[in-house]
Amino acid sequence: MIATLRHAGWVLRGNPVTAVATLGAVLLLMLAAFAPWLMPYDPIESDVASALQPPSAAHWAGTDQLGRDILSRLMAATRLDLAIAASAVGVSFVLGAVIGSFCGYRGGRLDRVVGRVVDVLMAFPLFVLAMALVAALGNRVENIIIATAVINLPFYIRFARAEVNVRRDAGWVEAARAGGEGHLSVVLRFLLPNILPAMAVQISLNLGWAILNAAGLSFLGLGVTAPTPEWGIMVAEGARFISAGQWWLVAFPGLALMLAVLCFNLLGDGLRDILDPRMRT
Amino acid sequence: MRVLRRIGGRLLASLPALLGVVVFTFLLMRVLPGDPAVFFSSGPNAGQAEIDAVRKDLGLDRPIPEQLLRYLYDVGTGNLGRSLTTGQTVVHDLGERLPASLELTLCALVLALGLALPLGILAAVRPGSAIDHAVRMVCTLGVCVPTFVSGLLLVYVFYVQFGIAPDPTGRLDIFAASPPDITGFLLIDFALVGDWEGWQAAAAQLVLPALTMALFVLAPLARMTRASMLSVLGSDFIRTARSIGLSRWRVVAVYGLRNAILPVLTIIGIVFSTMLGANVLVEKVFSWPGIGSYALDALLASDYAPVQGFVLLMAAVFVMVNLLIDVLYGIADPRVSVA
Amino acid sequence: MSTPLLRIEDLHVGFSTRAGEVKAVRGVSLEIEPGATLGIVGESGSGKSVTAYAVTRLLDRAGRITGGRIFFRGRDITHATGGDMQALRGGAISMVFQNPRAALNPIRSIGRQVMDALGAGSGAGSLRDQALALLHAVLIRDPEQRFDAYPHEMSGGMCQRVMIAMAIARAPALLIADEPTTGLDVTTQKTVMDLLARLTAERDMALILITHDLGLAAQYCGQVAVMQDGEIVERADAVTLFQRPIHPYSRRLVAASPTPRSTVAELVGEAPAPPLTRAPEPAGTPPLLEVQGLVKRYGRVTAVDDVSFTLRPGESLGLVGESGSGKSTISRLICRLIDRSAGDVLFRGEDIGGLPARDFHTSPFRREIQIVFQDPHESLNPRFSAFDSIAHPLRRLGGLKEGGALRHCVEECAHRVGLPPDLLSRFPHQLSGGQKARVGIARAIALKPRLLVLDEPTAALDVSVQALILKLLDDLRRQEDLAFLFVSHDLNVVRMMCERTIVLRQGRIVEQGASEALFANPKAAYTRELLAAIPHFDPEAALVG
Repeated sequence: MIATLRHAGWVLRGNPVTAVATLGAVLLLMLAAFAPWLMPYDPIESDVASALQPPSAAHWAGTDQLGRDILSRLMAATRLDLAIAASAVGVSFVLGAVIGSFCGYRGGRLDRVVGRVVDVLMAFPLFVLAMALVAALGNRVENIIIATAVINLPFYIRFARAEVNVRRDAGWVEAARAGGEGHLSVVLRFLLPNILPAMAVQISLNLGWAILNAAGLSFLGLGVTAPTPEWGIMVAEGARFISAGQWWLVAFPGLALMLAVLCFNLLGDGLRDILDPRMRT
Repeated sequence: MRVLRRIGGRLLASLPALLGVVVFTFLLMRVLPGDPAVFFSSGPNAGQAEIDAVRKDLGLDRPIPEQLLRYLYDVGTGNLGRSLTTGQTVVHDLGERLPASLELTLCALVLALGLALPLGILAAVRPGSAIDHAVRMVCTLGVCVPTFVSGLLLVYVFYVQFGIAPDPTGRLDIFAASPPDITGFLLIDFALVGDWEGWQAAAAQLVLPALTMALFVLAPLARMTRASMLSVLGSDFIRTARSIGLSRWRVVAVYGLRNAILPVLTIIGIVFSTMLGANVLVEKVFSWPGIGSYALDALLASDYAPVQGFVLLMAAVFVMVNLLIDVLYGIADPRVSVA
Repeated sequence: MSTPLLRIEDLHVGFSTRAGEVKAVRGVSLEIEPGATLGIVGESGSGKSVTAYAVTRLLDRAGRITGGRIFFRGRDITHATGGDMQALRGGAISMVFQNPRAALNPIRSIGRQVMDALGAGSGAGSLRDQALALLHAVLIRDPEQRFDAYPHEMSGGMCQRVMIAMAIARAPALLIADEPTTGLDVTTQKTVMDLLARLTAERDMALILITHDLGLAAQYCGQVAVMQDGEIVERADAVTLFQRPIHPYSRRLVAASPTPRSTVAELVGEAPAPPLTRAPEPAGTPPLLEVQGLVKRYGRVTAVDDVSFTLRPGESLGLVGESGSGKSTISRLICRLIDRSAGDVLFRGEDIGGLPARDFHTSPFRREIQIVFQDPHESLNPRFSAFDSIAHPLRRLGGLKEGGALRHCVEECAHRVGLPPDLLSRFPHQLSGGQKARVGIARAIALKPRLLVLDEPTAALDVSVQALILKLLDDLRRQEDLAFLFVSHDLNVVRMMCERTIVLRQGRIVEQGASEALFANPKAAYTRELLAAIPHFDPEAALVG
């Protein structure tokens, strides 16, 4: 364990961008965990007297139309946004890795059918699919998670399929069978652990995408509803005031979204570089 | 002939996908929490008798397989139902609004390709140069900014601050006269009647939303172009081309570019799909009267027939686009078999 | 004395990597006269290809000439401009590459690519005729019809001929061929090499042949230079090099290269082992392995077609054939990794062919039949240490749990294959190719199987490492009374390693018999063709000729 951490530290020293991204991700997680104790103001309670104030010493990110401190709301929203993205990605990763690995390993007709379905799904306007799912299942946070998980699923299936496919005929897989393993344990105990590092890259990149999707749905008024603090809703509420020049209502939640996505994307790119220096572009 | 057979084959192959979408939208209606009959009756205050009448009228009292067949028949004959909010048939509404969405999406795609391809190629030809670093930064940042945020910020900068963009609502200034409805594409219609002032007004309205959407897909397109060009330029046959003394320009243009464009072609299909989805967000930001905002309004008003119609239309557009890309790919790459 | 066509003086080439600069070529000097032939022989990483790419300046972006000078026709081209080099390439110096299929543009017809190589000629019509003439010259049948074909529609050998046509298009004075036949079947290799040699001789071109195959270089080149670790350790004419190699490395290399007469022991410079004598088996003992009418179909393709043979305990049987002969499929069928379509596989008289491959891991015969895989880089689980790789079958099938007994067993296996115990904790990427091959062998013999299937066990190894591994395998078989089913494309290797040999072609047996007799006196025409195609160099014959 200590050796692993030391190795990670050594790697990060050589990749400053990844180190910064890792730090950012850790900060985000801390924020999600400790936001209630760090927030300067109550994120829900309105204070109409101090509505629509530009950023100042008292309100670093200004206040919204109900006089709520935007910074506090941003901090409070971190937990919800990360939780939605993480659970959606978690569900699709587990399902996708298992389905994809088995299809990729078995090959044959089933694999071709699954592959074709996945290809079609991936080319379909996925955001529209997510909208339709939320519409059908009901306008609730759980359903945002399900919708996001569903539109992520094809990527994991395809990824796991491809990764298993290139390894399926490798000598060490056949050697595992000659060494007494059945097909099931070859997939679960040999192939899956080998594709996990590559999947980690995918997870990190996907987290960013999932955050964007969830925020997009909320922006449209699907899923999370006011007054719950959430980055997408905050942008939607602020949009009304942009024409009046009150930019901070949109800019700060936008910035929060961007930084969160940037963190996970850079982390993913960094992981890819670390795992496979040849992929460095 | 080869191409025609290919198109035919592909059309047939996309039928299951289309059918899947139809069944999917049907199931969406079925799993909807609540009673569709209630949604389709006049309102929340409708009496039980009216709801029962609607249920019978919609055939909701029949067994599910029969309902599915009926639904398939309706879709096949172009009957997508009626919107409660507009009172028009869904087909009529969609037909009226589709040109607005397509105009926006296509302009954005052209804009994005016009920027992404040269940038990606330049970056790949000179890896490690300033332009390469700039392109990589744009690619990294570009995918992180949600369209609804970048759209609003563009409005703030160009409308509120500098005042050089028109009021970001709709396709035309409310005081401007609309062109005669020929194709539904404002830019084309204005051009057809020779009204260049109107054309300029329409173009001015289009710039910001198109730019917003173009920025959103610029990153993946440029990234793909760069990666594909880099990998092609590093391949064996490029070395061969150099070894027979071809000029650098010819190596890059004839041997490099033509091969590198193939993966980009594939991703354009996916990018176009993403844009169809992003349309909903951009149309909401700019109050663009397209199918996205139509479907969203219907969705929020629990008016489900338009949503179904919208998803079906998306599927149809998606099938057509993929077909087009497939055919182009088949022409560009001799390795793709005719089958 | 005339100026040499190409003269390289003290050339140094470095590659910048993350770990710092790697010196790939360290002070190479050589020259070649017009019309002469020079072979540059070395194992992987010796810098032989890098030298060639430095001359034509086709090095990767990371590679750089760090010292020395290159003269072409007396002119210093070490720092020639891009434009000057472009004029030289194709017109004065051209190249033929390894892996011909990848070396051709996949979406451009071969005719157009040859026309590209001809450059701006005089009028398009004559350019096409010239291209057709070139295709004709490299023995492409029906060039008119083939003109519009794409590389993927042609075989590897055909693609390499097109590549040669492109290389000779503008009649350069020097042709550099970089491993031009690696990956091609032995009969294709012969036709391609004969063509290359004939065309360069006819057109008075100098040829530099870069190869890992000493026999090939000696057969086609007057002079041979041996490279090791970025330096030329010895340069001599082919006969002298074979008969009296001076440098210890060239001596080792010459000894390790299999010839039609060498034995396994000779490869590593030892006295030959006595022939194996086996106690006669009691009457009625079933053969260890009996294969009858074995068939394997993939869809409409029949990969293995009605193959029958037997293998006695402790015997070694070679399966030899070119690509597509079905030899690897047979090895997997015997190993029960895949299911047969028809036929019987009997092991010690018991039918194991009928057991589904999916359940064979539960069969008591699983531990009796083990396999060694082709590419040592691919054959070890990247996440297992060497210890875990060897321990895996012991844990699964040997019933050994963690602890002293297991460790003892693994260390003993490592000892048997000559793997130092301190390497056991290493992961595959920390081991050399030879060491990985040893781990793969240790894993296969850990359960003391009776039948070992060896699927091209040395195909991916350098020749000096191959010699050591072959010797190891031969010793193991002698000591442990193991039966071998030895699959290989290399006829010399099969002849040395196996008592009996089966020649396969397109899934069918062409000929089988005792190795010595079969190689000395082949009956089938195909076997004769195969034997004739092996690159061989006979210094005595060369002297007489």
